[in-house]
Amino acid sequence: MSLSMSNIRKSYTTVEGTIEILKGVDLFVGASESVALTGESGSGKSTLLHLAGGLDHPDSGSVMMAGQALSGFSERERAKYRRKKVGLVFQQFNLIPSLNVAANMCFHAKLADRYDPAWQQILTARLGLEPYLTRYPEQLSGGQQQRVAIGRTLAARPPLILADEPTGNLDEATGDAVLDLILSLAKNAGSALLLVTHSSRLADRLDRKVVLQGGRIVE
Amino acid sequence: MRFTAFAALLSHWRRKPLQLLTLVTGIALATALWSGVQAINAEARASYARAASVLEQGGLRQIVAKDGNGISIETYAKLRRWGWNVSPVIEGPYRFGSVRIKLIGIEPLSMPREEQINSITTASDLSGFLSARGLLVVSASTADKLRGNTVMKIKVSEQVPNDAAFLDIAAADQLLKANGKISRLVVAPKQRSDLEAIERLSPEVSLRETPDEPDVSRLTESFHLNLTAFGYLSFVVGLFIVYSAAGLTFEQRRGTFRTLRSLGISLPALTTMLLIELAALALLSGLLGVILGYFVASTLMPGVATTLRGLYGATVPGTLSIRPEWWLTGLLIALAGTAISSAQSLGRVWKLPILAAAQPQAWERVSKKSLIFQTVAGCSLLGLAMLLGIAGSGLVAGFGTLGCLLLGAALLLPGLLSIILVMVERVSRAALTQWFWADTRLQLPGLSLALMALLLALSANIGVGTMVSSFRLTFLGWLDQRLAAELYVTAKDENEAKRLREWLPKYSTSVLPIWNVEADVLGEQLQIFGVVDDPTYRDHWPLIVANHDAWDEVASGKGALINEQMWRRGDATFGATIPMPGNWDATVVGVYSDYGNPKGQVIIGIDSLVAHYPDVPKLRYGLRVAAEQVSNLRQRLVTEFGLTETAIIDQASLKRQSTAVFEQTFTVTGALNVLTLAVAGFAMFSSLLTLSSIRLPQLAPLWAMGVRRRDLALYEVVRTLALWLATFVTAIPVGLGLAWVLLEIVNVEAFGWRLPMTVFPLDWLWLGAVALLAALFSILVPARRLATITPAELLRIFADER
Repeated sequence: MSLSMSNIRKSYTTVEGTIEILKGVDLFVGASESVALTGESGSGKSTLLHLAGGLDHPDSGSVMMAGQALSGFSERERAKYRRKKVGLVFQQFNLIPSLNVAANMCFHAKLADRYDPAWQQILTARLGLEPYLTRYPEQLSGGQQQRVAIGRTLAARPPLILADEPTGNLDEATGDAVLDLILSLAKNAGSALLLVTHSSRLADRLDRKVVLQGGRIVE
Repeated sequence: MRFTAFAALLSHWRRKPLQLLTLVTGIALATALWSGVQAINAEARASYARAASVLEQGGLRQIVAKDGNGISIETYAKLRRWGWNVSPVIEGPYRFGSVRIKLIGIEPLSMPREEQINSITTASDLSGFLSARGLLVVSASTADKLRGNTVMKIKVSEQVPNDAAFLDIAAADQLLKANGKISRLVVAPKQRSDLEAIERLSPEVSLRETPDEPDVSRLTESFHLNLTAFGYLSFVVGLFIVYSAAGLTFEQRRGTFRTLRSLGISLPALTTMLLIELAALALLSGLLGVILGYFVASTLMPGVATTLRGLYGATVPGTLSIRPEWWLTGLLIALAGTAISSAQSLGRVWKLPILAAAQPQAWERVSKKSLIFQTVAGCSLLGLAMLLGIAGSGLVAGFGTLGCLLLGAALLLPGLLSIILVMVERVSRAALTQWFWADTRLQLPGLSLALMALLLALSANIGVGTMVSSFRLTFLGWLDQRLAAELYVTAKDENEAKRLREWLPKYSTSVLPIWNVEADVLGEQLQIFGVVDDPTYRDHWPLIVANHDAWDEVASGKGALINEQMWRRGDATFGATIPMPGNWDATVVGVYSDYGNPKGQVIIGIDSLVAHYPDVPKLRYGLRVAAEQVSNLRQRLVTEFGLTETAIIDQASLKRQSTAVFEQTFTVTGALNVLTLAVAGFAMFSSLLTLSSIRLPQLAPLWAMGVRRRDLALYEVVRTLALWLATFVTAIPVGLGLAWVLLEIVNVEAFGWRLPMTVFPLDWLWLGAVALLAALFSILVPARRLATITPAELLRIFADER
């Protein structure tokens, strides 16, 4: 399932006036493809990711997923899109504090009606989370929490994974290990991956790299 | 430097005006109901003291007749001759037309100066007072009622309470037909040192020492204690709001505290600034609270006055005077309440390490340890309540039981809810359902204070409601039995009464004299009634315990019935012989219910009453007639006999009056109940609003995973309702426990009667519906805010995290 974004424009109104974040961005991510989105702070990477995930509306331009335009979606359809088609991994993990690791891991899969206990077991083993299943997020280290967040996304087998600096809070070694996991598990699940990162070293390990600068794709 | 730092601290309120409003409202509400109740109590107590001092010369010792028949002129003269400086008083109820007032006849020349009323201090006052036409010194309100009903001159004095009149003793003797029998002698404070003891000079009288507090003050003590308990309950509920709001503001400013300390503000300086800020807020909110309390008290005061008059015969003005000490204590309680509620937060600031990591939501997390501690404390308090309930005695023990029960249940609630939520979460299968219960458990610490407040308010409502409804049911049943006579008549004087006694038997089935004297029995001034031997009493009077031939014993003059109050207090036991005034003994052969009467009462046979107390007023009668004859007899009494319409009252009117007095008695309690529930509703609202502002980071990921905003809002509503329902269900047994304590311990101690407890589930449903409405109202704003939040605001959560 592919993601296609064309001529995307997005601006925000702040106290200093209206700031145009994206100025006509075109981006395509093919099925099972992994694309790194890099750029300086404030270049619009996260905004583009949010638009791809149906979390926000562009001012103009179209976001198409598997040939369907998100712009025509109602609130209910957008929610369904996020539930069924998209998996989000945030820099700050955003786990659900009230649920333990096991419940967090299967949460999105259950929402998407794609819960598969066998697949979850494989993921748990690959992510090394077996000893922590009954623990709560606040009882885990940053690296462990990020592994749970990745596990939560992959357990739902979404056609599109959107990762916003998933290794930004981790040390280099842990970051590398986490990225390895995302890449190999996304390949196994057949998911497309759009990953925002500051690190060109990490970006080089993905199928393709796109650079965003001043609200436009330059590379 | 310090001013700049203080300004930085205060800038928090500019950014969080709603939080400021919550804190101010919390302190103001806590202070308002507390100070309102204190104002009512202070006004009433001052009124009792005033009335006692004016009406009964309460500041001085008194001499009274042991047999209740009054003091003879001879005794008075003998005491004077032996050097006793005493002044006579003749008093009693009197009717001027349809106006019934208490006459107090005094002898102004011998009355001690300390107890003189200001209006008769000059020579011209005195000549008017002693004039042949007579002068009545009354309050302005009584003067209005008396105009047109008497030929006597009327003089208004602000000193005299309503429904009472001072007059010359000779005029009182004439009007009351006392025939020289003196009601009591007031003993002047200055006496010769070589006086003979009163008992030796005149064994028929006794010297009554100055009471520490007026009679009515002792009687109404339980009523005021009840109000005070409600005041404290509302205060505690209000403090929950303050604790919650203060905790949040301190926690949200942790970053500022750390920064200020890093920039060189010492810990004592920072604490001082916070103390000044809190004190200023407390004083400002306290002032608002006291003003609000004044309005609450002013609104409730007329109801309280009616209650006190109906239940205890106490005269209290329906208006409130502003007392400086009341304002001062209101402000002090606001300061104390704020200090108590903020002590923990201030303690945390004191211990805060400069480099501690920010924990913006730490305030809402209650560790398992403290939850366990709270649960253990709750269980201990419930145990203590049980112990006090079983082993304790006295009104204070009763209220102690109530306090322990309520506080114990409130402390136990979060632990109980937590256990229930864990269990429900375990059996849930669907992801969102599982999250819902788990998330509810996570919110519990932040909501627990509001839920505890709600539990207290609901339990108090159920408990007091059950007590009042049980009382109403018993009281109405009792009235139906007790008010058996179809008509009640009161003669104007003995001549009219004599004519009535001859006239009435021709037109009624039975004539039941309602005659009584007031006398000292077992050390208490109480009423002794006489009853004729009539089937009405045997068939209708409910006796709690009695000999099988109790009425025969009463009719024979040997037996006496005592009311429940005397029996429960242990003044007299069933089967015991009690010494009666006038040197004779009677055996207690039965105990009867006597609701609404705070004093003891004795019933003896009518012949015995007349024989032992020949001066008993014989003015009132109950008449038994066939129902269809009532209006006919009433008409005849007016047209043929010449009785005034106001001297006749039918059974239905009397029941209506009694029921109205009963309902009025609990109006104040009902109003305080509603106010406490409103404060608890506000506590819930402020907690939910506070939580909603810090919950977005927890809810945004769910939205990102495809749960709609309106669904999230709906979950918030359902959560509130689920917690409300759990709290309400918990409140039912706690409320019933409260009702049991009120009926079995407090009422018995306070009033001297015990009532059977009846449950009224329909009342609970009604209360539940009101509480449900309050819960819905409290979540409305936060839920609407969540349902309409923009995606940009939610996305900011992910950006803010960075």
